Amino acid sequence: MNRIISLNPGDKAVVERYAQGIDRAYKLKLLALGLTPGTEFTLIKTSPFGDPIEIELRGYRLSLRRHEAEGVLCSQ
Amino acid sequence: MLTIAVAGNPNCGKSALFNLLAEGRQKVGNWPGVTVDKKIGMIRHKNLDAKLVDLPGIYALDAWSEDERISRDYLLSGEPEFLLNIIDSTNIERNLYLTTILQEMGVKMLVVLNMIDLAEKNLIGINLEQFEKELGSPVVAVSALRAESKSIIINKIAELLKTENKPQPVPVPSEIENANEEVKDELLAEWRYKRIENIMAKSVKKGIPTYAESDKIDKIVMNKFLGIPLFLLVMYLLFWLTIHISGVFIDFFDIAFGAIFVDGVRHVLTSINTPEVIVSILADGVGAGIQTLSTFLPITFSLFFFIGLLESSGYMARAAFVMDKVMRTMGLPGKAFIPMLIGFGCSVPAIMATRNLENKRDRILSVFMVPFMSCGARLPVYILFTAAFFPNNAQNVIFALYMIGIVLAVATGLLLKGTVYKGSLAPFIMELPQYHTPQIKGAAINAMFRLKAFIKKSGRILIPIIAILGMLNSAGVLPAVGKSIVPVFTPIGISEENWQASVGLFSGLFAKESIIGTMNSLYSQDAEKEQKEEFSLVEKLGEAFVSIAENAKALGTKIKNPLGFESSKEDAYLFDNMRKAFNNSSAAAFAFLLFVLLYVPCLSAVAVAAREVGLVLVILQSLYSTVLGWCLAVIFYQFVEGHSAIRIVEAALILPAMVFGIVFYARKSGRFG
Ligand SMILES: Nc1nc2c(ncn2[C@@H]2O[C@H](COP(=O)(O)OP(=O)(O)OP(=O)(O)O)[C@@H](O)[C@H]2O)c(=O)[nH]1
Ligand SMILES: [Mg+2]
Repeated sequence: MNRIISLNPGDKAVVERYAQGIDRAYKLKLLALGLTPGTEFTLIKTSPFGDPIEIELRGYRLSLRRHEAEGVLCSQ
Repeated sequence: MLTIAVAGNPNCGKSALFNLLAEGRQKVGNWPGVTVDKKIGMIRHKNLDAKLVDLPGIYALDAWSEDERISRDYLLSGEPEFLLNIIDSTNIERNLYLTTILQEMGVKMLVVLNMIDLAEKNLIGINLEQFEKELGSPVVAVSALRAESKSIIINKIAELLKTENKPQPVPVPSEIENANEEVKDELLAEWRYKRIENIMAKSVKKGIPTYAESDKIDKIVMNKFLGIPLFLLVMYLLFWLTIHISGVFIDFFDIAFGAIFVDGVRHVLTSINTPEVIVSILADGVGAGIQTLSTFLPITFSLFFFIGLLESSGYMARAAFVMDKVMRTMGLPGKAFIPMLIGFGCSVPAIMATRNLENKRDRILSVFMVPFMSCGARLPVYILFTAAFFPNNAQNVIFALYMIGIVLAVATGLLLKGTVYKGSLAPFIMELPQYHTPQIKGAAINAMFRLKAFIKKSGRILIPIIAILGMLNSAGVLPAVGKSIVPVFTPIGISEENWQASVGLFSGLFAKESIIGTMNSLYSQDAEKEQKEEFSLVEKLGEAFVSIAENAKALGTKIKNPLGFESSKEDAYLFDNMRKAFNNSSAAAFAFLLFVLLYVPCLSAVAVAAREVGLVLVILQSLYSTVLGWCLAVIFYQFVEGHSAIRIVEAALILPAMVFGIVFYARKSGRFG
């Protein structure tokens, strides 16, 4: 199991599941945005200051903070 | 009458279509979260009469931020009888998630594939018939940029209204309905997206990568080393263009409005034997006020035009992305940077824009910080004063004022973060749109709209104030009133004879533009007038038009005196009076500007802020910034020129006492969320 925090620009990963204790509102929003289990995404880049990150999924771009996205468990 | 709601994801072009369909003037911009309130318009067409409601964008019906809540509540209220679900054709898959949820509501609905021009450009192939069939709702494909889209949508709605065509909700499988709470959310979303993937596979062919061009731009804009300098350059350019382009037209308005409202009014009134007192109030008071305000029409237009270009490009979302880490040090999310940028135009929409923030306390903090951004109404005050007192250094002085505002906003953020807000931050989730070609027409329409608002405000607030003050002045009351307020301002270098300045500050409470209008008419009014030349309206208007050409020609060489002030006799005369009133002290003038930058934002900003965060907090904010402004102005003036140790100590004591009081109250009351 991998975490978004350890991905580098250009890396692809697949969402496996959400961590148990994750904030429900946060999870619901990510789900609505298409980050459902089984979805592949690519880390495009990090902001010039290192955080947030920009990922591509389902043909569009989304930005998240690394440590907040910790609860999204994924595999490479 | 039929009520139609416009629903869709953020940034899919809802407001652009709303404007097209209902001939509305809603703000459009290329970042998620432009519309933050419910807006009503009317469709009047031979085939359809209906009420159209524009809403903030949402991704699903669970709401996060204030604007999403407004949308959700309205959609669930049962009021909309027809849904216009807008979809961004370059991003169909994600946009359909909301569509599937809306279908479950069982209200008549038309799905509008918007931005079809961009989809075509990106070679995305949509088989409309198949798409419609798979989705189970009627669909049209349009572009908000094309005029014919209006009749396409309206005719389709009219046609649908005649049938009993309600969406057939696809039932949620029972194993998901009955699933364990732990996994139900995931399963439901996964199931919806599976359905969407199926629709996509059968009816939409992927095009070329849609972000290819945006990535190229981002390579430069979001570069580690170039990013920030480029941002500053863009801002500098924005103000440079605003000042220089409006500079070409300033004399035109000055001369033309002066000819009509000052000389013209005087001429007509004198010729019908009106008493000199009344002539003086109408021509030299109200007329001169109108004349001064008119010279700000070009600045207002240019400023909003260039901000509009920036807003339509997609840069705002990038700024939020890049600034997130910086804003976080103040306890704010990167998105809070957008209201700050809008604040350089006007605090009112900037305060409104804070609705897009998820946390109440983030909204409150932003409302505290936004007024420190020098708005478009303060710029004219700076320009007039720098032209009179710092003619060779105007740009630097103005730049310094902007920077002081920004630094104080940051300091305020840090202060509240360090003392009142210690809790955690709202999570950051933001969509990054593609860059669009800046919309010149859209920006112009938006700027025209702001211009009309400015004219309305002038008519309703500014001119009456100037007129009343002019009347009080000629009745001899004003100097006494002014002089009674002056003692408060003597520490910042306003002498007792300079009561006009304190009256100006007073009128600025209503709207900061009126500072200039008031002071101009007061300073020009009480000195004796020079001999008037023979009055000829035609000649003057001709002169006004010639000034445009002359200023345009001189644009290259005018860097030093950007606004062409001091080109006319009246200006030289006004500047002379201003310098005399301020005892030729540029330190006092700067202290005055400092105070103008910081004291109570105008009444409309206060009113809007009160609606967003409550009156008590707004009063606190006004108190905070006014006392801050006064103390800093005193300290500055006394250091540079007044040299009164007592005054400095006084201000240096009041400042921390005030800060302490506010922090104490904030912690005690729990009002800060
Ligand atoms: N090329 C193109 N651009 C469009 C079209 N429709 C809208 N836009 C642009 O897309 C951006 C977003 O449009 P808005 O109308 O503000 O979007 P919105 O859905 O109201 O967004 P929110 O209010 O943030 O929810 C703006 O820059 C528009 O100029 C279109 O059909 N074609
Ligand atoms: Mg909108």
